[in-house]
Amino acid sequence: MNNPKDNINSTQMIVFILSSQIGVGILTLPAKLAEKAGHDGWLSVIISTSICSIIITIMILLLKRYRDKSIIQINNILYGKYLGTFFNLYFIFYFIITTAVIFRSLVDIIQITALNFTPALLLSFVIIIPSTYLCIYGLQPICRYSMLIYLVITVTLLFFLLVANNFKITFLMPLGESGLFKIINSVKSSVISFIGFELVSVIYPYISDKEKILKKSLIANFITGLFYTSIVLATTALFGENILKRLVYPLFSLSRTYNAPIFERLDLFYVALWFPAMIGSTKMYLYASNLAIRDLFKLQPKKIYIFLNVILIILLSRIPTNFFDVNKYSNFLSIMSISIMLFIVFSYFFSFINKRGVNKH
Amino acid sequence: MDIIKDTEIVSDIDLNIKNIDYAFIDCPDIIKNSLYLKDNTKVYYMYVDNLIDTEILYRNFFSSIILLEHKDFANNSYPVYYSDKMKNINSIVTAVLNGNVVFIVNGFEYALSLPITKFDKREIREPDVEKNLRGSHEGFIEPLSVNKSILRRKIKNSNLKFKTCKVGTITNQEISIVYINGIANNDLLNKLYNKISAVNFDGIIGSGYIQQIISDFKYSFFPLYQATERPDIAVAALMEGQFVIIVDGTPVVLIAPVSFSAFFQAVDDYNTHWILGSFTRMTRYFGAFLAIYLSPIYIAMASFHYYMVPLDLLIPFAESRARVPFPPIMEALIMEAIIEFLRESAIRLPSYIGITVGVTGGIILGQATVQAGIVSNIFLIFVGVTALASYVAPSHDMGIAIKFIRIIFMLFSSFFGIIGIVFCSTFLLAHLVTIESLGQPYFQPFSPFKFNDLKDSVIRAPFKYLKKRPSIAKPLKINRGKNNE
Amino acid sequence: MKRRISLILTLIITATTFTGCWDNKYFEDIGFILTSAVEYKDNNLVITFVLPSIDSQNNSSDEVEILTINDSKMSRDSREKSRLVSQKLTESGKIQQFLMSEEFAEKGIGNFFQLFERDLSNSTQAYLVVVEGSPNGLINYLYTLPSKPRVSFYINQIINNNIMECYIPETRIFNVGICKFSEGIDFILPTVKQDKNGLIVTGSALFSNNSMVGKIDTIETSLLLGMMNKLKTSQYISSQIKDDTYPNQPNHGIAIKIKKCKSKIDIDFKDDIPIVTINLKIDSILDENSSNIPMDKNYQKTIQDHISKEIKNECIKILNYTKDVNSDPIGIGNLIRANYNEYWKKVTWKETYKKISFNVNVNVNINNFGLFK
Repeated sequence: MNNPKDNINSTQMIVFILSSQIGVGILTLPAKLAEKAGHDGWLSVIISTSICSIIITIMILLLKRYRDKSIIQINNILYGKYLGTFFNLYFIFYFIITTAVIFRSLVDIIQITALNFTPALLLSFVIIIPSTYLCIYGLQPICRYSMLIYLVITVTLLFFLLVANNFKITFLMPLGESGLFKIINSVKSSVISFIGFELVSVIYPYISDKEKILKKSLIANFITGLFYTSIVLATTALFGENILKRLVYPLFSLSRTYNAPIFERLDLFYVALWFPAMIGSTKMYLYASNLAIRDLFKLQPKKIYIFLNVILIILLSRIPTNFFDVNKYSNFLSIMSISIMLFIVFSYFFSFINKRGVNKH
Repeated sequence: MDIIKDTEIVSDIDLNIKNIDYAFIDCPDIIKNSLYLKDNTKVYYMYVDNLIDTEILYRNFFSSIILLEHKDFANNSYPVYYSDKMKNINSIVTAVLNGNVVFIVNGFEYALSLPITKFDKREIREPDVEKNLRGSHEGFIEPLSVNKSILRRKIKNSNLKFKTCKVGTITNQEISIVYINGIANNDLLNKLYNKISAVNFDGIIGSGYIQQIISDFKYSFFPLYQATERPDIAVAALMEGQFVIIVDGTPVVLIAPVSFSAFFQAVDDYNTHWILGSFTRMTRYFGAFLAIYLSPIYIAMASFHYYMVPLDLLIPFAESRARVPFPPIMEALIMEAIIEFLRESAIRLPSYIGITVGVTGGIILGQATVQAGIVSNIFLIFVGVTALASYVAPSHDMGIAIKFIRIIFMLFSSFFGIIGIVFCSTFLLAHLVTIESLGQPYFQPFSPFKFNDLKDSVIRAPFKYLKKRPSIAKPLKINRGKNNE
Repeated sequence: MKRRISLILTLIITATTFTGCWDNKYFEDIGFILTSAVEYKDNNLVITFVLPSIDSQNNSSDEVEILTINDSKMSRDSREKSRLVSQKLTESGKIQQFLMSEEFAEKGIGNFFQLFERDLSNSTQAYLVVVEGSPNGLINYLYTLPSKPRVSFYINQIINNNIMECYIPETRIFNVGICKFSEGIDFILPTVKQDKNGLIVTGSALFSNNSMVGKIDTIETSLLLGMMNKLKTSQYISSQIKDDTYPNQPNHGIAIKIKKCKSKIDIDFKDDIPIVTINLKIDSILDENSSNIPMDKNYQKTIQDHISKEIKNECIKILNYTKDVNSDPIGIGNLIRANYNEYWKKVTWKETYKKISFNVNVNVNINNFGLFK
């Protein structure tokens, strides 16, 4: 339930963006890039970082033109009542589908790595509980919890240091062998891993110091970009592009190559460390979808809406039946997210035409 | 409850006596008697037996009052240590119950009270459960006035304020909120005061009652207010801008608002060198961490993830588990139950039997269960270590909370393996970041991350860095020492 | 009404969670396969498992399961068949090493280990070892030796120690997987042999296209590892130093302990054939000198030059051998693919590899000679 003191400042917003970006996308990213661009995947990550920075800048400029309004209200102002409501419903649909896909991937990973025989429905109900709990309490606890993502980043980078003596730089060379066309083609799949920053548009009214938002969100995107680049570089240097194509979760396979002194295998602990990060990513979208529904239908903050949302997401996440089905839905989701980003860019330029409601400083 | 008629005092003393006696029917411990002044004016006095200083009463009061006359009272010229003119029965009753000698002079419409309280109280001694090596060895005791004087002795400053209110519909106890004016935040003070005044209960037998009634998060079993019996902890808290709640009749005071790291701080940390103090503190955190995670990880490895066991332990582990007929979770719960029984019985038995029971339980039961094959011997070591480790936190409340969390972790890890542990940790972290102590986030300074407050949480920074007050209580003045801005 | 709903919900949830733990694998019921061995016998695959015995009743021997499987190519199949005979539920999560016979290695080991890559509970850190002879016979022989520790631990310790001394390479299952998929680099596996004392490490086996093609001994393995930049510390014994400056001394031997070995590979092209120059820089400590000659500057230079020459000849011999069997453990192909990509795409590497010429420059430096001159 949102209390009036449910504001976060811009430093907490960095954590918000980081936590919604770093989720399940990165776990399959190196493999997808190896398939499309060979060993030059990391270049496409760098390109997508810059593309996303541009989109973030445009989005924040759009939000700044209408002071203190979230994207739901801006849509209504900009496009009129009926068209605006249609776009808002599209946004809500997008958030819900993203939550369902992320959640489904999370449950899949749990089943592959640890618990193969537990029924997925029961697992879903249990895993969704922390996210629901945090969503009930609002934005501040969500951001405080998400600071765990720093731990995940640090441990991953430490792990890379540990397996570094197996890296072969020759696996990364020659640079640019795949050619410009393939790299540009693979940008489409790497941009998908960066989605998460568009949630800022929904929580914009709740951020207290709005002048620093632009700088801080660019910092967050930059951190994500660096992190992703290092992951793609490390997995390519360790495995080489050919086997990387066949690995489903390259990061987990990387953790299995390290021989620890006493325990001998640290992979399960590393996998267990990623779960809070993935759960964190789920709850961001859950919260955003809830907030968007509340904003659109002007409802009171009540727990029952969150529960209904959760049940809908669990049911949706059970629809795909196997790995390739999930891939199909992920592709559908990637098209939707690109369309959302283009829509935001378009809205910015459209707001110069339709100047209603724009706040001049 | 209104058997006391809220009547006024009239000039006729016999009517007054009748009214007062009606209020005190069947209270043989209230001594009521009359004496006569020099001009035969009747004076009726009453007091609670054993609550006043009878020596002063007989030696000073009686010997001086019988020399007075009616006109002395009319002129208000009685010796100064008489005080307080009371005009109705209620206030007389309250005054008598508070340890005053109340006397009514015939012909006057008021009663006077003489505060010569003295009663048997416990000596000021170090509390049993909060011992330390280098600090003071004083502890709070039950009466409120003594506690107030202990605090006043330590803080010789007129800014030390006691804001009192009465709670308890039957017991009519006094509760004081202690704070230092100028440092403590006024919004928090008002909030706390409103909460305590709104307490609607029979009587506050222990300060734990207050802790639970005014808590914002009633289902959370983390202690949201720090309970202590030591004055030096209370004084340190006051100087940081926190509030101390003293309840009359119990020596345990509450400190609010408080953060999670306060439950791992002990007085000795500040009296030694900062490196040694930090090391001890980190040992406590590590102990709490082990106490929560060791048993559940054992259960997860033994039930689900056999491949995480180190190679050299593989065969001894399997050998010790092979003799046990129960699954790991049952083994763990049996050991927890045995240790709980030991702990509970050790509290209630007198000390000499308690030691024997501890030795018997610990050594014989432990050895026998391993020999009989009920429990594996590797797990016995784990259980012993965790039982010790869960009480390294200086605060007893936190120790019980840790123990309970561990049992929940064990249950979940037996259902879902390491995912159960991850799920429980996530939920625990989510819970810790949402609960608040008097409106302040509980898990400060870890999250919301305040770098300046980390100096006193996991480590204890040198005194050079401790010059700023922590922000948990939102103090009005940040710097300690001179130039108090 | 609300309380009733929450009560029913709680009952349902607790009932479902308490009914069964689907993934339970209790520790004591599991038989850990610590060593596994595979070989061919009359065209049948014979797989041997070694499970340590942990029951306190039967303290004597470990369980050794032997299965004969007809034309089964799947390692999973063998594990399932082992469950039919074994007393405990066999799981391969802690497998330490995997022995194979030479015949099996020659037939190609490419896809046999995919099982380990797929399931997270299996370990990809097992060592792969080639046994000269029958692994099954080896394991049974080791059981007849009473004074040695448990078989799997014994083999594991010997392999670990020799890896530390850099007499055999450290190749685990994931290394095989990586090399299998990348072009231009091949893996090498240690070889062992049965000996009257137990086990003896004989060197390593060279692979090409995932099948075994050749064998080298331990000294050659350490030099090969040095050229691959993987030599951490090793012992090198040289003999036959004959110098005219010291006519009274017969041929004597020098032993040095190699502290650090850096290898730098340069590739040049001449008539479209690569010429590979490997520069080795070795820092060492003098261990033993079987003659009486005291150390001085000239004598040290003599020793260094002699050892350098000897190592150079050895290395060229090893490299020519690898060229002949068409195995590329150093990864020359990988380097050419990385640095000279157009050339790589032009030629068929397997053909060209036979034609390249090697050149080795060795520079041995003796840093100190201990407490005795």
